[in-house]
Amino acid sequence: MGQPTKLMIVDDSSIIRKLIQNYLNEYNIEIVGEAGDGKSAVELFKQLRPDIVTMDIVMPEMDGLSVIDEIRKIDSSIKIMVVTALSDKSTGIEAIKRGAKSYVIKPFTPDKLKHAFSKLLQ
Amino acid sequence: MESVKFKSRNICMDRFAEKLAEYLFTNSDEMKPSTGNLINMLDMLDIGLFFLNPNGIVLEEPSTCFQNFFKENIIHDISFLELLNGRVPEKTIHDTSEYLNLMFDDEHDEKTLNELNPLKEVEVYSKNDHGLWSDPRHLSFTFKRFKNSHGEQSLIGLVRDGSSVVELLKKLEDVEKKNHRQIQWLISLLHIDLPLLNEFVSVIEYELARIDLIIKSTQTGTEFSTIIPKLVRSIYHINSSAVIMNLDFFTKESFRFKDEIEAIKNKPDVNGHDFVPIVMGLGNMHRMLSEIKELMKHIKGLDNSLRTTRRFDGGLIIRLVENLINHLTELSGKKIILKYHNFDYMGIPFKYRQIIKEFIIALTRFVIEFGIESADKRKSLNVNPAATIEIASELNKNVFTLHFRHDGNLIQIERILQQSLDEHQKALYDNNKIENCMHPGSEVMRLFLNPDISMLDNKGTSEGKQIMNDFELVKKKLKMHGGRIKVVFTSESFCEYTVTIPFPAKTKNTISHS
Amino acid sequence: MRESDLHFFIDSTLNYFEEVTREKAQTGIPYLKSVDPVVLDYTGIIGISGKRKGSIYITASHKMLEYLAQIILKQSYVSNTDIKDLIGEIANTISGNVRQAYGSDFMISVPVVVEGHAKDITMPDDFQAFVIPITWKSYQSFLVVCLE
Repeated sequence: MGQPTKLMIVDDSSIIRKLIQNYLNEYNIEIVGEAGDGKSAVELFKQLRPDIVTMDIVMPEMDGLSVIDEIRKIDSSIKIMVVTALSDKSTGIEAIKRGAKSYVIKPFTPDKLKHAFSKLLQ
Repeated sequence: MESVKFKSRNICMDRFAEKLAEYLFTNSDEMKPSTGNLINMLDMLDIGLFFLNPNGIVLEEPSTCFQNFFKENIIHDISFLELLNGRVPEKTIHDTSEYLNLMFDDEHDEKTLNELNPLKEVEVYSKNDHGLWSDPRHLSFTFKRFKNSHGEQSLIGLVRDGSSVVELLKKLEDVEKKNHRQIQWLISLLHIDLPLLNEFVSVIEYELARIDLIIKSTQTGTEFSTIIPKLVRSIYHINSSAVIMNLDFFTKESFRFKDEIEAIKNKPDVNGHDFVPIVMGLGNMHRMLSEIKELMKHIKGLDNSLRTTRRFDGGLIIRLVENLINHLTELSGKKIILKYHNFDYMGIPFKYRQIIKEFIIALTRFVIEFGIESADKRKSLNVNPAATIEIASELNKNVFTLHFRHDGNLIQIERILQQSLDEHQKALYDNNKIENCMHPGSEVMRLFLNPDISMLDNKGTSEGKQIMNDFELVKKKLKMHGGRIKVVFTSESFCEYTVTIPFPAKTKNTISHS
Repeated sequence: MRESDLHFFIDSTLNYFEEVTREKAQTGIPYLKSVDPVVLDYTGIIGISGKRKGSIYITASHKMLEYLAQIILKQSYVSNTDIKDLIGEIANTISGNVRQAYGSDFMISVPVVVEGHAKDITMPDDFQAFVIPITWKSYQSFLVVCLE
């Protein structure tokens, strides 16, 4: 088994953060950090430099789309999976345009999350 | 929505920005000390000032006003588009990006580009202290090119808050709509006597509250369909009251409400979802009732000065009956002439006026529904296509008598009579079970006045059952007051209901004059 | 507010419970909110702006949220923080999902969570508020929607 993939989880809901952790624990990943708002997500990213980030959109301080812009300035190869309740197409398109590789709409089942996550591991 | 004033303010802003750009930047170094004063002046005028470098970054020290619009403390060295992010729709940000790119390119004519400014009038949102979205501001942005001290194409931006004007316009529009609506309603309400209107409002309030209670107290797991008959009953009362008041604007809404209830009645699996149109309709009716009550306050004053003599009050009941007849005949293709020259409402003992009024209304409905044929049917029977209803009254020493006569062909009664006779015959034939049969005459009376039996070919419409139930209720009320009802019908001629009701006993406090 | 608005919120709510718990919830008959307060132990409020303005909130009992959190997290103990977080997340998800119908001009705020039986949750005066009773596994909660 190779080195675990470093994962950072960004969501203002601790329940969602726990859920993502639980659902993805079968993968060879290491949760290196969690952030509950946009600004701390950017700061944490600079410190931790994870391989993959899961990103909520509606958050305090700075919204997810802005965070995507900021962290891609630091590392343009970062893989991002957006996990959001915003189900309208334009948000999804915007996230992808800004560099997200994968997209999951809440509420999500374990299978949905794993399916979206596995795309980032390919 | 752009008002003339708002538009003209924008034009002024454009000219102002032009002059400002020239003023500030033709002699940039010399003017720099004055810039601060100018920004302060603009702040006092609630005009925000900011500068964008060729990368679209907000340069240092934008005006306080500008910062206040966005409710941000530090607003420089960030991208202008970043500032708009989350505050305006994404499409607007995209259009703004395209617009600013063109503005930074001096190959394109500035005046032409200004027509394409997507931020000319835009709603900008911000969050309050609790993190909830607060009311948006209607901001107007103007941009002007200038070359900064390094010769780079930059932009000066001015922003003004037009929220107060926009809100005022919206309020004006809403008020105009409301006034127009209320004037139309007022015209309808004015022809109704205030006590009747009060009664109407009470009935509607009572029934709406009843519907609210029925809905609220229905728990999940209950068969939702079980509450529908209760809702049907309440809406029936609402519609009846609205119809006899001849309030078109209300009947439109109440009949639509009734249609919504009817629509779910026949659904096999009723769930909470299905009641959404009913609840919306209920909301509309509550709103209408509040507005009617508001209008009634105005009418009260008018009523006192325009009130005619008491003698005129007797005409009200007839007007109600006429309204009802007009409404029911319109729907049913029947023609009816109402005669009432021998009817004296004022002769009814005061105590019984309400019940007599209710009886006349209920009986009118009943007779039109079951006793009178359509005009075409009557014509085919060689009788006058227009049926007659005649209401008369008389007052003897101790008794008030009401006569209600109509000349409906009583086909239904005849058929029932025939059915009853047939059954009687059959019983005779079948092992002498005649003792189980009622006399045909009483059988007819029983059938005719029993609300559970349908007499229609299409066995009992909901409306028909309601009418019969109402009539039965009113009959019971009358009997409680000592009233008696007699029905005489002469086939092919007329049917007459006679109600007798004794005068109420005199009280012991009667003053006698010697 | 239109009929379709209530339908969107009802559908969004039912979808949430079904997706998350695999057990269907049922909505009761919606009704107009009167002066009587509709508040349970925890309430998650979302402000709405954009083309439509207003707010929505969902209010539920401690017991229901505790049970729901236990199912979601697959653990027997859940903290008060988790419970507060959950009600906010439910409100956020329900309103976020409704954006599919309204588009990106339907802007939702970050949820605000109120703990304890407040007197009532103040809604905008100008518009009528509708209460949607929700029953999930015999627990009752309420979604209150107030939209322009």
